[in-house]
Amino acid sequence: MEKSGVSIDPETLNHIREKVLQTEQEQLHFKRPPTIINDIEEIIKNEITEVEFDED
Amino acid sequence: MILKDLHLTNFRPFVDENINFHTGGEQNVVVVHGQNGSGKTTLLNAIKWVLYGDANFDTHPDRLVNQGEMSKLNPGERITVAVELDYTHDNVDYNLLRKTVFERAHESDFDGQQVDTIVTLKKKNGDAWEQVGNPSHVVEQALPERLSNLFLFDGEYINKLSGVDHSGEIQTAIQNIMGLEILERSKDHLKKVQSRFEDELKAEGSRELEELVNKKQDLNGSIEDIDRRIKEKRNTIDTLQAENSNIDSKLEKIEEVAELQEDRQELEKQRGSLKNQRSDLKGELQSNISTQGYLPFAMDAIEETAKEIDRLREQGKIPSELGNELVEDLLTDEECICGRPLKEGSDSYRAVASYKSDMETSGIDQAAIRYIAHLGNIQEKHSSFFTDVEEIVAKRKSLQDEIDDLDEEIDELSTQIADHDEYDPEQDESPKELEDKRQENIQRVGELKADIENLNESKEEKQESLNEVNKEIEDAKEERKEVLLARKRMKAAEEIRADIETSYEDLQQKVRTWSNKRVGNTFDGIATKDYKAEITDDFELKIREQMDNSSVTVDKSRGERQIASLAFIGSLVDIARQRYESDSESDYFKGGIYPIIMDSPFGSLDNEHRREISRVIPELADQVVVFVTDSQWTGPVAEEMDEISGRQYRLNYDSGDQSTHPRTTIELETSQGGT
Repeated sequence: MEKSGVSIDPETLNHIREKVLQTEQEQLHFKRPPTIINDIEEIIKNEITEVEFDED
Repeated sequence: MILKDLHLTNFRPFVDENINFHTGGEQNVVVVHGQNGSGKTTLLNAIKWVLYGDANFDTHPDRLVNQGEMSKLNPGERITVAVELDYTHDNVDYNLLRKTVFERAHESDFDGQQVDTIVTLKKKNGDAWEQVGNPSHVVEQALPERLSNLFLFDGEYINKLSGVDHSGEIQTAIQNIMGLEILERSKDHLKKVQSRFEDELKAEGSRELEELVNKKQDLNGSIEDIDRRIKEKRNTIDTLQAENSNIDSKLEKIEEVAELQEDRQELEKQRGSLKNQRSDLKGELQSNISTQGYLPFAMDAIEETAKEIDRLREQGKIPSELGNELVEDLLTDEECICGRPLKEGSDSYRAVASYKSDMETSGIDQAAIRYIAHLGNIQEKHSSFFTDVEEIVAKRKSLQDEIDDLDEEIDELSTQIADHDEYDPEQDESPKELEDKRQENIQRVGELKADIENLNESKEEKQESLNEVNKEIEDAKEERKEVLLARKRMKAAEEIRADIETSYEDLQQKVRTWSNKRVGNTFDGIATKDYKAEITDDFELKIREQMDNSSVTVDKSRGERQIASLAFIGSLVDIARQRYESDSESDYFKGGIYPIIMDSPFGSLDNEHRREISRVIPELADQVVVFVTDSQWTGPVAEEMDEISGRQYRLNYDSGDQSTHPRTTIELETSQGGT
C-alpha cells in the first residue's frame, strides 16, 4: 500500500517533458511574467490526476 | 537572418544615413571604418535597438536623439528617432521599423522626454508589403535575443572568450547556441516544483489510514462478539422458557395444583395482553412527540410572527413590499425565499411565477389573512397536542396499575402452588420443586433479558463509533489519494528533471565536440605557428604546441587567443546553420542562419596577428560586418580585407563648434556588388 500509485508510464513522462520545455521556451523567448513554477506545477497536476489506490 | 539596409534618422550622431550590408557576392564582408568616437559602436547598438528595443550605450544611455536636431526645436515641440532595417529570413524580405517620439521639455533639454514608441514589421508578399502582427515574436524567431550577444559583439567580448579565467563564457555560449539554457532553467524549475509537491506530501500525510482501518476492524469484531453473546442469551432464554412451559404442563397434570395453575395461566395471558397494550401506547406517545413535539417550543415564535404579519398588513407594508419585482428577483436568482431552487420549468418555478400575475394588492392582503388564519390552526393543534399526550399518559398509568394488580395475584397463586410439597409419583417431583425451578428460571430469564439490554446498549455505542470511524476512513482515503497524487507528481518532476539533466550534459558535450573540431580546423588554417587550439572538457579554450609526438599547453599570446575565440564564434554560427539545415531533434532550438557583426575586433594586436584575424573573418559566417577604427584600417588589415570586402563605408565625424553639434555622415567608399 505504501508504494502503490507512484509508477508513471513513460508516455506521460514524455508528454510532461515536452510541455515543460515548450513552456520554458515560450517563457524565455517572450519574456512572460515569472509564473513558470506555477505553470510547470499545473502541467504536472493536469497530466497526473489518478493514482492506483488499494483500499484497506 | 541576412541584414540588408539600415536607415538611421536622428539616432545619436546620425541625422539621415543609410548603410547597405548586403553584398550578395563572394565578398561577404562589409567594413565600416572611422575615427574613434565617430559612431561605430552606435551603429552596432542601432541594430540591437531596432531588433529588441534595447541599446546598451556606455555614455548617456538615455540619449537616443540627435543633439543638433533637438537643439532646433522649441520647448514642447517633438522629434522622431527611427531606425529601419531591411532583412531577409527564410527567403522572405522583411522591413522592421522602430520609431520613438521625443518632446523637448525646455531650452536646456537636449535628451527630450519620450512620448511614444511604435514598432512595425512588414513582409514582402510578391510585390506588396504586408503588415506582420507581433513583430517581437517574428524577430525573435529570426535571431533570438539571447543569441544576439554571440553574433553582435565588440572586441571586449572576444577578449572575454579568450581570457584564461573565462571558461564560463565558452560554456554559456555553447548553452545559448543549443538552447541549453532552456534545459538548465527547466532543471531548476522542476526542482522547485518537486519541492512544492514534497511540502504537499508532508501536509497531507498527517492521518494514518491504517490505524483507522484497524480501529474499524476492532469495532466490527466487538459488535460481532456482542451479537454472538446476545444470541447465546436468547437461546438460553428460549430453553428456560421451554422448560417453564414443560413445568406448566406438569403442574396442570397434578390434581392438587391444576386449578391454581390454570388460573395463573389465565392471569399471565391477561398480563401479556396488557403489556402489549402498554407497548402500543408507548409507540403512540413517541409518534406524537416526534411529529408535534415542536409546538410547545415554537408557539411563542409562531404567535409573534402572526402578530407581526397582521401589524404589517394593517400598516399597508406587505402589499407594497411584496411586488412583482420581488418575484422577478427570485426567478432570476433561481432561489425561493424558503431556499428551494427555482429551476425554470420546475413546479416550484411555475408556482412562484404564478404569483406575478396574481400580485394584486388585494390578493396579497388575502394571502396574508389566510396565513394568519393558518397560524391560528397551529395554535389549536398546540392545545390538542397537550390533551392527546395527557390522555395517553393516563391510559398508560391505568394499564400499569392493572399489570401491577395482576402481578400480585400471580405471585399469590405461585405461592399457593409452592405450598404443595407432596411428592407426585407421576411427575416424579412435588409441585413445590417444580414451582421453585419455575421461579428460578423466571429470575434467570429476567437477568438474561437485562444482560441483553445492556449488550444492546453497548452495541449501539460501538455502532456509533463505527459510523464515526467509517466517516474518518472515507476522509482519510480522500487524504491518502491526495498524498499518493502528490507523491506521484513529485516523482514525475524528479524523473523528468533527471532525464533533462542527462540530455543537458549529453548535448553540451556534443556541442563542445563539434565546436572543438571546428575551432581546431579554423585555427589550423590560419595560425602561423605550430599550434593547436581546443576546447577542453572543462570548456576552456586552450592552445597547445605540438612537440614531436606530444603536445603541451602554452601560454599563448593574445593574438592566438583572439584567433581561437573568433574561430569559436564561427563554430557557433556553423552549428546554428547545421541545425537549421537538418531536421532538428529538439524542439527548443532549431538553429538559423546568423550574421556576425563585430566592433573593433583587432584591438591592440600587432600587424602579424591583425593579418591573421583578417584572414579568419570571411570564414566566420555567411555575412560579416566589421567596424574598425581608421588606425586599424591600414597596413595588413586593409590589404587582407580589401580582397574580401564587398563594400566599404567611411564614417565622417564632425565634432561641430560652439554653434553646432557633433554629427556623423556615412560615405560609401567602395562597392563590389550587392543589391
